[in-house]
Amino acid sequence: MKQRLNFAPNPFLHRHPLAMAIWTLNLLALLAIGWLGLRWYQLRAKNAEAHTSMGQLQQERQSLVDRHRDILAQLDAVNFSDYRRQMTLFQGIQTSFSTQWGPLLDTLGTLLPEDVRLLELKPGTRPGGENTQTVLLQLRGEARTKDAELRFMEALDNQPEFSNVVFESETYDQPGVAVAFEIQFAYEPRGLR
Amino acid sequence: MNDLSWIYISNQATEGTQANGWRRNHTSEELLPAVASLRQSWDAKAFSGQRVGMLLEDDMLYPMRITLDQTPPRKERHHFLLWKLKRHLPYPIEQVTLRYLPLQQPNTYLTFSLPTPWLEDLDRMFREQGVHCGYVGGLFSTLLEEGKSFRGTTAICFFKDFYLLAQQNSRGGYERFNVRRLPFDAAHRLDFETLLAQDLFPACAANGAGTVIQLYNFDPDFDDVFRDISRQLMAQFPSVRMMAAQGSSLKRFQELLKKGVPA
Repeated sequence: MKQRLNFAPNPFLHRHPLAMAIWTLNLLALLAIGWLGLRWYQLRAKNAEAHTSMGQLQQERQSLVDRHRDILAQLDAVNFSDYRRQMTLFQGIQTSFSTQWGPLLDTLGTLLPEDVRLLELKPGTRPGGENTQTVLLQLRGEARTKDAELRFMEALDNQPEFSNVVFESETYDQPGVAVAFEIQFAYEPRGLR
Repeated sequence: MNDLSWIYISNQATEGTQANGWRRNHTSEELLPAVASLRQSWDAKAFSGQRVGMLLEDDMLYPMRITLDQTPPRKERHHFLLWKLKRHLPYPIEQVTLRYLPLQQPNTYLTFSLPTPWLEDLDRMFREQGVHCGYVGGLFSTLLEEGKSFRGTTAICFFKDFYLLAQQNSRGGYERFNVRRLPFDAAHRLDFETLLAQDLFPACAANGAGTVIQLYNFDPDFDDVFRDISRQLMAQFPSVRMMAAQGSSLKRFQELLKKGVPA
């Protein structure tokens, strides 16, 4: 029934096949829209979560970048030549501390002839690649005679703890009175040779 | 729609199709009888069944041909028409339920109107009785809307004291829709000569050549006159067809509705 001239406040609802088809399509469309809305909401929540994670990752990345930049700045500030010098000094100090001065002086004492006296004994520069237990020592002394000096060096060379005995210098301040000399040698604690 | 129960209200009686038909006379000075008086005069049969369609004599719908001065926006057309109808309707336009159809002429509309309080009272009365009144319309205008056989024809339909002339184009649009009072003399006898000479002959002559003119009568008391009129018109115009029907107005309506209105 056409409704153009129908005055009824509550007109009949006509279940025309086309109208029913349209109604069904509308219902399906409504359901589809609802499902899409739900899906959209889920994706939106997931997206927000992903964005939060992304934000955290960005913050971590930025933090790492800042830290990297600080480290690079610190590295730029490092003076390696000074560092090496400090390290050499440190090694020298460490060597001084690690050297067994007691046994060394005891041994030297047994080797010193009567005409020779020890003025100074200090660590020398350690050659690279050698046994870390080997200590290079520099010795300064005085001898009344040249012969006493040579005997002392020979005794050093014959002692198993000492090696590479090198004659560095010799000074005659007062001829016929004393001979000042400097020698360098390597010392290894007993049993390591 | 064919299986629907119908109640038809004319200005003299109410008849219904429920329970093999019923009829109650009423008298009302108003164009529309009050719903309360209808309720009192109606038979209990009127409220049998669950669905009912209400038909009114088309004259009660105040059919008017309104031409607007300008083409209003679609949404405002209703208000423009109401404004134009204001001086024609016997009730305030704030209380009007309006239906309208476009006519062939530009900005011209065929309007039908009923007072909204009356419609609400009618709806309430049926609802209180557990009946859904889902259709309220004019008797002949309902047929015109429902029957495709009216397309491309002119239909003249007689009632007790007026007749309707409706011309539809091939797509169902209205080219003409007129309500004319039947001419009566002082003794309330139909002035047959005046009706033919001044109304129907010019109307049929103005009809396009080859366009079928269908004659209907919904008033059983008017059948004899209707036959004479039809005979006269058919003698003058070969395209005129008389559509004979029998029984009460409502039975004729049902018969035409069931047959699909023969062309």
